Amino acid sequence: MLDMRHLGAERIIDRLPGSRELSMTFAGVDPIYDPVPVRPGAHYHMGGVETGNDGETELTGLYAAGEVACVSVHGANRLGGNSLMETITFGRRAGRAAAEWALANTTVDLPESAKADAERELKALLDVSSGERPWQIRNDLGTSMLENFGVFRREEQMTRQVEIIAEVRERYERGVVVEDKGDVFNSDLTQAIELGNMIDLAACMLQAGVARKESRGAHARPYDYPDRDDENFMKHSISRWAGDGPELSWKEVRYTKFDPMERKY
Amino acid sequence: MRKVAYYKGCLASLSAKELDSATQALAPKVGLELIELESVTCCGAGDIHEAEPDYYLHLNARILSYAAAEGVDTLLTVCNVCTLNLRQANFMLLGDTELRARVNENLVAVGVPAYEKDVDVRHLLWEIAEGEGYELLKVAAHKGLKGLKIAPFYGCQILRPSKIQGFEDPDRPWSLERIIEACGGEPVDYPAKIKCCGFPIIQAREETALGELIQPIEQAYEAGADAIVTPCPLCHLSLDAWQSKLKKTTGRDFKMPILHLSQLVGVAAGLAESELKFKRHVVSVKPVLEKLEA
Amino acid sequence: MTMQVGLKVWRFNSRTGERELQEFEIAAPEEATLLDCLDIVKDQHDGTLAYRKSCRMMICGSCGMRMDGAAVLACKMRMYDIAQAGHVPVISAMGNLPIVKDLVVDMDPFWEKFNSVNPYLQPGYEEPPDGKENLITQERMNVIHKEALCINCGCCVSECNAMEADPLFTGPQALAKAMRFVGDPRDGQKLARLEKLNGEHGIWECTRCYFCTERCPKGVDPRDAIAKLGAESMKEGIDRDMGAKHAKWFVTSARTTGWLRETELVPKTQGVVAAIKQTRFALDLALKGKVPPPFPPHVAKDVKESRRLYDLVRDQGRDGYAGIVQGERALGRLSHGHGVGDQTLEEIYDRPGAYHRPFIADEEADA
Repeated sequence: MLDMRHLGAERIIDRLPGSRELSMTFAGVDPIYDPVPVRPGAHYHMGGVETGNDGETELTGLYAAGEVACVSVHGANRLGGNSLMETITFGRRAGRAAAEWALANTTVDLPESAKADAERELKALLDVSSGERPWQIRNDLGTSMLENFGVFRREEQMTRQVEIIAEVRERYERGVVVEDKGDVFNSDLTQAIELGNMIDLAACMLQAGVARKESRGAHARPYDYPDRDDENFMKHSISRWAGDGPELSWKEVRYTKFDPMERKY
Repeated sequence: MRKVAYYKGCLASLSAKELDSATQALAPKVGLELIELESVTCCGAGDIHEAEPDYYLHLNARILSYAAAEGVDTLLTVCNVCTLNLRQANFMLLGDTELRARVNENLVAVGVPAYEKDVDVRHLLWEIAEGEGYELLKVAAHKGLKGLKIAPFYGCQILRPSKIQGFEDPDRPWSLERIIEACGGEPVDYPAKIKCCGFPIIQAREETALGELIQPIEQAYEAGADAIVTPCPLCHLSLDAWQSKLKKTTGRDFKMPILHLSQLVGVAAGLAESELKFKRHVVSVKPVLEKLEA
Repeated sequence: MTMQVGLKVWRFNSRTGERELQEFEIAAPEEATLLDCLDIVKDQHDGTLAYRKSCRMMICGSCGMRMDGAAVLACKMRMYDIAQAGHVPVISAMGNLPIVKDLVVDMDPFWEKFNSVNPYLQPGYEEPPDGKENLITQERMNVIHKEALCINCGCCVSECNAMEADPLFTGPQALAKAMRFVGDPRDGQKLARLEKLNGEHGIWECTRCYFCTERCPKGVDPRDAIAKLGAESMKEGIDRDMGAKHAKWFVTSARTTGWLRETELVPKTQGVVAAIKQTRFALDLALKGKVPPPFPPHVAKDVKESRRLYDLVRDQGRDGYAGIVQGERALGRLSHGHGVGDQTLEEIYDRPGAYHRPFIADEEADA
C-alpha cells in the first residue's frame, strides 16, 4: 500500500492529478482518503537502440528516438523525467537529423533480394493455417519473464528463463496462426511479428542480465551480488544479433560534467 | 403547497410568454407555490459567461441571493440554459469560501443582500419527474394525452455537463418519457433527443445551426411523433421558429408542433387555451389539439 | 475471479465496404476494462478485429471508441457493473472521423486541426533579465491546468455536434489545446493566436452542446476552454465576430435593462443590413408575438444594482479567462452525476431508447 494521505488534498489535487486519477479509476481508491494498493509493473523501457546525440544508429539512415532509443544519459535507473529528455531533447535532435538525412539522400540502394526475403517471410507468416495463436506464446513469455526476470533476480531463475525462452522460440518458429489475412490495419499480423522481436529482445536481456554480476539501478541481485561494482561493471551492455542468438559486448561509460555516484535513498 | 422562488428568465418574460403563463397555471396543480423574483436579471445565457465571466458570476450570485432572501430552499427554473448558468455559479460559490466572500462583498457594496443561506437550483422538469411532484402530476393529468405520440427533446444543457446538472444519466435520460407516460401519451424514441438544437449559434453561424436543428425534427417526424416537447424555451424557439428555414435547405416542410413542457402537462391537466397560449407558436399546434378532441 | 462479458462489435472494412454487427461472449477477469475484453476477443475469438491501443493506462490516447454510442477510452472503462447488469454493450468506432477498419478511425483530419492551432510554445515572451531559468508559479500554470491534461484521444471530437453539422469546425480538442498555449505565460504569440481562433471556423462556431466536456476522459472540459478563449479575446478587444457581438449584447442588456433586449439581438449580432435581409422571417415571428417591441423596454426592478455591479467588478482584474479560472477549483470537485430518482435502474434501462443506437458511417443500425 502506498499512503499519500500526509500530503493533503490540496497538494494531491494540484501536483499529483495523474496518479490520483489512476488510483481512482483502476483501484477505486482516492489517495486523499485511502492508501493505494500498488504492485510492480512495466512502466518504461530503460535501455534501447544505441544512438548518438542526433539519434543516429549503427545502420546508416536509421534513427531512433523516445522509448525505443538509448542515448545513454540516464544510466540504469528510471528517474522521473527520463522520458522527457528522450523525447523533447533527443527526440527533437533525432527528428531534425533524420529529416536532414532523408532530404540529402533520396534513395537507398536496397538489394532486391532483401525485399524478396521480407515479402517471403510475411507470406510464410500469413500462410500458416494450423498451430498456436501468438497470444498463448506471448502470455507465457510475459508471465515467465515477470516471474524469473522481474524486480529481484536470482542466478538460477535467470538460467531457467534462458531455457524457457528457447522453448518459447521453438513454439514460435513452428509457426503461429495469423487470422487476419487482410491488408488494412492488420494488427494481428504486426502483433505476430512483434512477438518474434520480443523473444529476441528477451534473450538479449537475459544474456546481459546473467553476465552483469552486480546490482545497479533496476538490475537488482540481492541474493548473490547485492552491491554495485564499478570496478568491473561501470560499462554499458551492448547486444547484437549474430546469426541465431545474441552476442554481448561492453562499451565504456563516457562521463563529462558529473561523476557517476550511487543513488542512496 | 411548497413555496419555491421562481426565476422565469428572459424568454418566458418576452418572446415565450406562453411558457410563463402555462407554468404559473400548472404550478399549484403539482404542489408548487411560485414566488416570482422581481429584482433579478438575465442569467447571461452562457454569453456573459464567455464575454465577462466575472460579471456573469456576480449577476447569478445576485439572483441566488434574492432567491435565498425569500426564505425558500429551491430556486425553480423553466429553461435549460438558466438552469446550467445558475447551478454553475452556485457550485462555484458553494465550493469556494474565499470566492463567495469576495462576491458577497461586492453584492453588499451595490445594495444587494449577501448570498448567505444556500439555495438549490432546480428545473421544473425535475420537480415533476419524481417524488411528490410526480405523484401530483399523475393525479392532475386526468384529461390525458390519449395516446398521442410525443417526442421528448431534452436539448443539451439540462443534461450536460452532468457534474453540474446530474439529475439523470445524460445518455439515458428518463424524466421526459416518464412525464409523457404519466400524462397518458406515448413517448417516441430517437437518437437526437439529447443533441443540440443549434440555438446558441443560430445567429452567428446559421448554416451550422440548421445542420443541427434538422436532426431532431426529421427524426421525430420519421418516428411518427405528433409533437415534440422540450423543457427549454431556447430549444423551443429554435425548433418552432426556425423550423420553417429547413424548407429552404432541405425542401421539406415538416410542420412539427413544438410544446413547452408546461404546455404538454397543461394540456393533460385540462388548462385553458388562455393559459397555454398556443396561438403564439409559429408552427400550428392545432393538429395535435384536434387529434385529442377526436 | 472471472466474469462473463457480452459485447456487440460493429465490424467495418472501408476497402470492401463490408459491415456487420458481431456478438462475442467472453470470460474475463473481474477487473477487466473494455480494452482488456477486446484483447481477449482478438486473441482468443477473432484475430481479425482491429482497434488501436498502446499504454493501457489513459495516457496515450489511442483507444478512443464508442460504447453504446458514447465515446470512451476503452482502457478506462471498467466492465464489471455492465456485465453484472447483464447488459451487452454495442462497441463502434468514434464519430466525426472516417472509419478505416472496425474500431479504427482515420485520425488525419484530427491532426490537421490540431496542427492548425500551432500546438507548440512560440518564442517572444519576456525572458528574465539575468538569463536564468524562467520559473513559472503554480498559480500561473493553474490557468491551463485542465487543458494541459489533454491526451489527444479524440473522444470530444467524436461527439461534437457543431462538427457534425460543419466538418470544418476547428473543434473541441484543437481549441482546448489552443487555450493551453494562449494561457501559458511562456508563450509569446497570444494575440496572434486569438486573432486566428476568432476566424470563421473558430471558437464562435461552438454550439455549447457540452458533449466534449461530458465525454472527455481526462477532465479537460473543452467547452470551458473555448469560453476562456472567448473571454480572453473580448478582453483583448478582438470582438468583430458575430458570436462575440452576440455575447456582448447580453452584457449590454444585463447592464441596461436587466433582461435580454431580444428584438435588438439580431441587428446587434449580424449588423443592420444582414438583419434587414431577415425581415420576412422576422415578420412571421412578429405576427406570433415572438418579436417583443423594444419600446418601452422591459426593465428589471432594481436594475441599477446590476449596472453598478458591472462597474465594480470591471476594476477587480478578473476579466478574461481569469473570471472562469477562479471557479475551476470549486467545479473541479464535482463528479459526473447519474441520478435515477425514485425509480429502479431496471425501470430506466428497460425503457425503449435507454441505450443510444450507435451508427456506423451514415447508416442507422437496428442493434
